[in-house]
Amino acid sequence: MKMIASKSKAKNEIQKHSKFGAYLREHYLMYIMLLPGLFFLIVYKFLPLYGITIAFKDYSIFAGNNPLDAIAKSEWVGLQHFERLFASSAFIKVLLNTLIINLYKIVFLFPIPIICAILLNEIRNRVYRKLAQTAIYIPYFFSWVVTFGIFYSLLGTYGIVNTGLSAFGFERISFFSDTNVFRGLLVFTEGWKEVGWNTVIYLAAITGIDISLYEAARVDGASKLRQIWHITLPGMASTIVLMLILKVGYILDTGFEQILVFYNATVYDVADVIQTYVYRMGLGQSDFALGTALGLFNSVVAFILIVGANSICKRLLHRSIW
Amino acid sequence: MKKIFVLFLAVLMIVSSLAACGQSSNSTSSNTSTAGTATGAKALDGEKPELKYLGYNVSFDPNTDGMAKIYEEKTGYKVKYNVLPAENADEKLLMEVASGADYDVIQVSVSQFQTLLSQGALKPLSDLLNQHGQDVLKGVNEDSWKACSGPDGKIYGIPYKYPYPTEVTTFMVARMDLMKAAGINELPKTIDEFYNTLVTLKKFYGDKYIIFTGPFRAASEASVNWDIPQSITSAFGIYNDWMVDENGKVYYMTEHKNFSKMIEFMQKLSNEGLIDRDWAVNNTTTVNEKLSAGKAIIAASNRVGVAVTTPIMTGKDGLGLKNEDLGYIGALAGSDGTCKYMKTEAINQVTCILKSSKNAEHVIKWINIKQQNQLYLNIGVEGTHFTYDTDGSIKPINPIFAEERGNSYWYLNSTNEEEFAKQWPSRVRKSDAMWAAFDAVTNKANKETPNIFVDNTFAFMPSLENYSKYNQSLFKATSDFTLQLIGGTKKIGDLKTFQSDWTNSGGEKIRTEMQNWYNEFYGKK
Amino acid sequence: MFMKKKKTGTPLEASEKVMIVISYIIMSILALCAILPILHVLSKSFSSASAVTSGSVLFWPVDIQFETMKYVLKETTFLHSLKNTIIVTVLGTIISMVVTITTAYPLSKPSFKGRKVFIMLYIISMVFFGGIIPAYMVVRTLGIIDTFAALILPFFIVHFNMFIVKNYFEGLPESIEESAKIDGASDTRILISIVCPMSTPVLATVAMLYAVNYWNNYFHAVMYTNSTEMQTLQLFTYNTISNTQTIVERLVAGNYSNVSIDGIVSAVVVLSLIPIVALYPLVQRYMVQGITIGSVKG
Repeated sequence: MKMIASKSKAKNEIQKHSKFGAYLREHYLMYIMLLPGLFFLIVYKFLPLYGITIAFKDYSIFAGNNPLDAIAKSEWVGLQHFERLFASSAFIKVLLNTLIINLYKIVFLFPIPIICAILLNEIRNRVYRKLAQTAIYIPYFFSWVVTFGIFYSLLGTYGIVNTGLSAFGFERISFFSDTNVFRGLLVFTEGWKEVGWNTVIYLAAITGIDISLYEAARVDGASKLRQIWHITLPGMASTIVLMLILKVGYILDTGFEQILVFYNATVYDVADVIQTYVYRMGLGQSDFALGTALGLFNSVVAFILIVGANSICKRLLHRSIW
Repeated sequence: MKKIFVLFLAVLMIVSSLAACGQSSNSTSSNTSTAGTATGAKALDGEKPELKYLGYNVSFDPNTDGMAKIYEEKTGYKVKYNVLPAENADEKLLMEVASGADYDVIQVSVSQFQTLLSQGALKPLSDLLNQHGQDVLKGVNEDSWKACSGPDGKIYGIPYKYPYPTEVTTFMVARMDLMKAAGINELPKTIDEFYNTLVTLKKFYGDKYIIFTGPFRAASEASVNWDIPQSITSAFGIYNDWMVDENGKVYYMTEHKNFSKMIEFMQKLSNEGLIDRDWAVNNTTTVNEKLSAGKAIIAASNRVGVAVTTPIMTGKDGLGLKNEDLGYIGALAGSDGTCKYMKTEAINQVTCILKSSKNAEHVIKWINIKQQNQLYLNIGVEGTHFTYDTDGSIKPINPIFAEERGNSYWYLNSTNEEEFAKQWPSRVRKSDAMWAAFDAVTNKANKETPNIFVDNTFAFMPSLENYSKYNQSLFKATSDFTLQLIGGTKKIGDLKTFQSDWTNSGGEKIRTEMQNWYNEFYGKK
Repeated sequence: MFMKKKKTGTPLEASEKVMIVISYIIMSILALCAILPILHVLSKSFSSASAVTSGSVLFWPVDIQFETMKYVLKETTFLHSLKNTIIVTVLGTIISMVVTITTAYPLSKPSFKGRKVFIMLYIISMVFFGGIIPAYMVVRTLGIIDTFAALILPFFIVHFNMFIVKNYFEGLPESIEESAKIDGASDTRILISIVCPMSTPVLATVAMLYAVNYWNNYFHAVMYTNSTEMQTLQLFTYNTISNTQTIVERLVAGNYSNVSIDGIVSAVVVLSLIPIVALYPLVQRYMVQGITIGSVKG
C-alpha cells in the first residue's frame, strides 16, 4: 500500500515538470485511440448541431436545393416557436405533470434495481439465479403497444383483476380512466418493463468489486447488512451516481411513448406531458421547427441539470461522471 | 458554424462520390441511355425501364407478393416497390423528396400531394395523359380531376377514389339472442328506440353484460376516428366535421345546433351505466374482444371488425351463435325523423410524378395499361376467380380469389370509377361475415332509405394550406373534448372555452379558406 | 485464489441466512411478475383464433395450434427481416465495442491530458441533438442511405455505455498497469492484454447493451432505409401492428381461418424475443465476480 502511494506521488511530480509535448510523445497512442470515437462525434453529433438553428427559423424544407440548404435560406423568426410552446395556458399544467410523473418514477423505481442486484448477488444457487435474472430482464423487449395490450387485459375495467374484485363484491376500478390511479399505473408498468434491465447494469458494477474486501470483512465479523452497506454499495456508487445524474438530467424527456399508448382524454389532467401535448398540437403538420425548439429546450434543461447534479454529487459523495 | 458544416460535407461528398464512381460506372451509362430515349413518344415501343415506385405502408412486401408478378406480366413493366413507414411517413416523404429522391412514381395521401404540389415538386401530367393515358383520363370523373389540379389548371396527380359512393362504413353489431331473451325482437331504428333498448337490456341483465361498447377506433395514432359512433351522430344530423348550412355557410360540428343534445344523450347513457366504462380507453382490439368474448351485447364495429368477430362468435369454439343471432344497426334516425349519413365519396390516394423522374411517359403508360385491365387485375378471370350472379353482381370464388387477388388494392393507382363501383362489392363478398353486415346495413340503406346519404360537400376539395396544417389536431382536440364530456371531466358549459381555443388554434382560418373554396367550386355568388 | 470465491468452510451467520431467504422470496415474486405476461403472449401465439380474440387465453395455450407460427414464418417477411437485424446487431456490436473501449480507456486515466475537454465534448453531444434533418443529410451525404452502415452509425458510440466502461476502468487497481508500464508495455498493449481481460464482466454487459440497442432500433431504420429488402425486425413488427386491418382482410378468406391478428402480433413478439433473450445467459458466463482482480490484488 505504502509502495503504491509513494510511487504515484513520484509520478505526479514527474508529470508536473514535464511538458505536454513529452506527454504526447509517450502517450500518443491514447490520442489515436480516441480518433474513431471523435470521428463519430464530429460527423454524426456535432455537424448536425447546425440544425438547432431551425428552432429560430421559419423553416420550410423546400426552401433550398436540399433540406440543409433550406435551413440557410429560411427566415429568422427569433423566439416565435418558443412563444408558441410556452405561451399556451396548458403549458404549466403539462410541465407540472411531466415533473410529477418523472419524480414518482425516480423515487419509486430508482432504488428497486439496486436492491434487486444486491439480492440477486446473494443468491448462491447458480441455476436459480440465472433464471431469475433472465426472467426479470425479458419485459424490457416488449414494445409499449404490446405492453398496453397485456396490462389492459389484466387491469381493464372488465379485465381479470376487476372480474375478481367484482366477484368478491368490490367496486370495479377503472385503472385506465381514473385520474386517482392512472399515474400509479404508469409507474407500475414502467417498473415492470425497466427494473430487470437496470438490474443488469448494476450487476455488472457489483462484479467489479474486489472480493478480498468481503473476505476481510467476514474475518472481522461484519454482518451481511454491514458488508452490503460498507462494501457493495460503495462499490456500486459510481454506477448509481451515473444513473441518477442521467435520470435527473432527462427529467423532461422520459415516458413519451408509454404515455402516448396508455393515456386517453379522460386522464389528460394527470397524464398529459410536454411531449404528448406538443405531439397533439403538431398532429399532421410535420412541424420540424416546433419539434426542434422543444428538443432544444429539453437539452438546455438537461445540460444544466446534469452539470448541476454532477457537481453536487462530486461535493457530497465524492463521485461524479467527470 | 454553417461554413464549417458545408465544408465538411463537401469533403465527405467528394470522398463518397469517388467511392461511388468506382462501383457504378455501368449504371451511369444505362442512365444516360434511358434519358436519351425518354424524349420522344415513339421511344416507348422500345425497352421498358424498371420503374421505382413509392407507396403507402402495408403489412406485406409488395415486391414478393404474388400480385407483383401478375402486374408485371400484364403490363410488361418491372417495378421496384418501396413503402413509406407506418409512422413519421410525412417527415420521411418530405426529407426524401426535398433532398432529391429518384422515384419514378409515388402514391401519397391528399394532404401529402398538396404539400408536394405547393412546393413545386411535381410534374404536370395533362400532356402526358393526353398522349399516353386516354383510358385513365376517361375513367376518372371531372370533379376528381379538378381536385388534383394545380392553380395553373394543369393536372398534377391521378386520383384514386373510394370505390363505393354510398357505404354505411360504421355500424353496430347486436347480439339478437340476448336481446330476444330480454324481450326485444326488433332492432332499433330511431335514437329513442335505441335508448329504450339499452334501458331494457340494463334492467334485464344488470351488470352481467356491458350493454353497449365502443367506440371503434384504430389504435394507430393519427387515424381519424369518431368517438361517438356515426350511427348515433346521424340521428342528430351531424355527419362530418365540417358541414354547410342551407345558406351556404361553412360551420364546424361543435357549432351544429344539435351538438349539445348529442352530448347530453351520450352523458345520459354514461350516467345510467348503459355504455362501457372504458369508453375513452377502448380501441378496435378491446371492442372486438369484448364482443367476441360475450362480454358485450351491442358493439360499435365496421366491416373489418365483423370479419374478426363473426367467425369467432359463430364458430364451434366460440359462443356457438347462429348467423341470425347477429343483428346490425345502421344509421339511426332522430326523434324528428332526421337521419344523415355522409356519402363515402372522397379521394383516398393521389399518384403523382416527381419533377426529377426520367420515366414519366412510361409511368403514365403503365398506369393506363393497368386501368385497361382493371377487371382482370382486381377481380380476376370469370370462372376462375369469380362468377356472375343472376342480378349481374360479381361473386368471388374462395379461396383462390383471396390468394390471387387479395392484395391487389395496394397496386391500384387509378380506376374506371363507374365500373369499379360495380366490381368492388365483390371484394367485400370474399368474406361471408363482411358481406352479411354489408348487406344488412349498406345494401338495405341503399334500397330502403337512400335519402339518408348526404353529399360530402368537401369530397373534392384540394387539401388547403391551413386545413392541412391545423385540421388534424383540431379534430383530435374535438374528439378528446367529446370524450371528456362523456366521461364527466368536462361540462357542456365548457363548450365556450373550447370554441375559443378552437378559434385560436386555426379553426377560423380553416373556415375562411373552406368558405372561399366552397363559393368558388359551387359557383356561389 | 480462485477457490476463495466459493463458500469456504465458515458456517453461515444468521443475518446471512435471513438475507438469502429474503432474496429468494423477493426475486421469485419479481420473476413471476415478469414471466406471467410473457407466458400470456407465448400462449396466445399457440392458441386458436377464437380463444385469442375472445380473450380466454391466460397463461397456457387454449386449443393448441401451430398455424399462427406457420403463417408468420411462411407468409410474411419475418425471416428476412430477422436476418437483417442479426447482421446489423453482430457487425454493429463489434464495431461499437472497439470504439467504446478505445474511447473509454484514455478518458479513464486521471492523468490523461485533455481528459476534461474530451469528456465535456461527450457530455454536450449526449445532451444536444441537431434534429432529424441534418442527421439525415449526413447519412445521405455519406452515401450510406439504405445500407447496414446507416443503421450502425447512430450507435457507433452510445455515451451511456461508454461512461459505464470508463467508470469500470477507473475502478481497476492501478498497480498492475504501473508494473506493466515499468516493463515497457505501450498503452495499447496494456489495454489489450491487461485492462480488457480484467474487465470481462462489464465488457460482456456493455456488449449486450449494444446488441440490444441495435436489435431494438426502430427510429433510424424508419429514417435511413427505404427498400423492403432492408426492412429490419422492428420495422416488420411495427408494420404488423399498425396494419392489422389489412392483415385481417387477408386472413378471412385465405387458408388461415384459425389465425387471429392478436395471435400474429403475439407470435411476432415471441419470435423476435427469442434470439436476443438467448444472448443473456451467454453474457452471464462472464459475470463471475472478481476472477482476476481478487488474485492480483490480494
